[in-house]
Amino acid sequence: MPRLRKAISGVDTKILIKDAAKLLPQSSRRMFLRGAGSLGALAMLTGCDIVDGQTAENALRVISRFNDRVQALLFSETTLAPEYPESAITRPFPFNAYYSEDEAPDIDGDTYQLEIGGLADNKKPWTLPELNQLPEVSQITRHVCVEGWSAIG
Amino acid sequence: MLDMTIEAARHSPVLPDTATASAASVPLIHPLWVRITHWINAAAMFMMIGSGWQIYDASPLFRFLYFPHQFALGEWLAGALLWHFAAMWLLVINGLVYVTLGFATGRFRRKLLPIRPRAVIDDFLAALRGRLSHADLTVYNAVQRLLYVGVLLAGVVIVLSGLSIWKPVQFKYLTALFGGYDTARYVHFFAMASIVAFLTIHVSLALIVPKSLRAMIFGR
Repeated sequence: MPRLRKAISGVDTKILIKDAAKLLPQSSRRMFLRGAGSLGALAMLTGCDIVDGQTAENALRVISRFNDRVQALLFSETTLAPEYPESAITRPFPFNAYYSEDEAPDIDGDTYQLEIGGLADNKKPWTLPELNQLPEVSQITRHVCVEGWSAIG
Repeated sequence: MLDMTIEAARHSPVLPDTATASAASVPLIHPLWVRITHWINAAAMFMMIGSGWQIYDASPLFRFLYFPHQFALGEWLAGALLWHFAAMWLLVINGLVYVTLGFATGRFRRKLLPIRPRAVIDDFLAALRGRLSHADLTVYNAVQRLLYVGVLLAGVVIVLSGLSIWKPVQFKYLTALFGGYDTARYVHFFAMASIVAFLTIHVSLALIVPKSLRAMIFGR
């Protein structure tokens, strides 16, 4: 459970990068730090070669891991996202994916499998009937997207 | 005061030596802590604004406003977020050191107060006519005082609104203070816009009066 909570408690940029990197063309993957070269002032300040994208990238990753710990410390189990009445739901709820709504893939429910990855101990894939047997909980809350917009749903 | 000076001059047999005279006529304008925190802040601002523009582009608040890629830092959303959440520490820790020392040493009170509306109008009109004196850089004119206090307040607002959109659940009271998550984003944006407006004036004037730039580097 703590693992799960950590992943959803804040903006986990590492996971985001990993997910998005798969969808990006190869050349873009390591290039998200381009433009760092213009940081002449910072290079003088720290004495490290920030023009080398790899140095900056490593430094940012170290700080990102530190931020993960700060976010875990900030998280309180008694301060949870507020729930809203059904009337507060944002309609239409924004559709946000790497494809447009009409490009959403058709899924064959009979062969569909939900694959489990990452830190989960049990990585056995789930079929749709198995998923449907799980207990259901519904919650109306504000979704705050990493892009900046928010919507209640 | 004048009498005392004449009196002192009459009783001193020799003129003060040139070294003492030049040191006295060129007083220290900015102590070292001001210069260090100023330039660390400049670097932090550069990173925060550049990465902030990139984050803004992922979901623009205004249809007509999009920040060109070459001015943004971080290449894309996730990279920009890494920069933003790293540089925030530099900005906030450096800012806290600056504000603490500003109050503790009395520099804020001495340099930034009082601000009288009449003096602001007079100095502003004098500036437009090109008649504002820059002879003594140790004393800020009324327009400078107003702008420096203004940008300090914008700094407080941008940090607090930033915290409220970074952790809208854990800092829910702060977020509520800014009118909720969506409104806090607008507050954060307009605080950035006023800081950028300040920077435009600040940097232009520093270049027009180069000795002010020299003073921020060497202290005198």
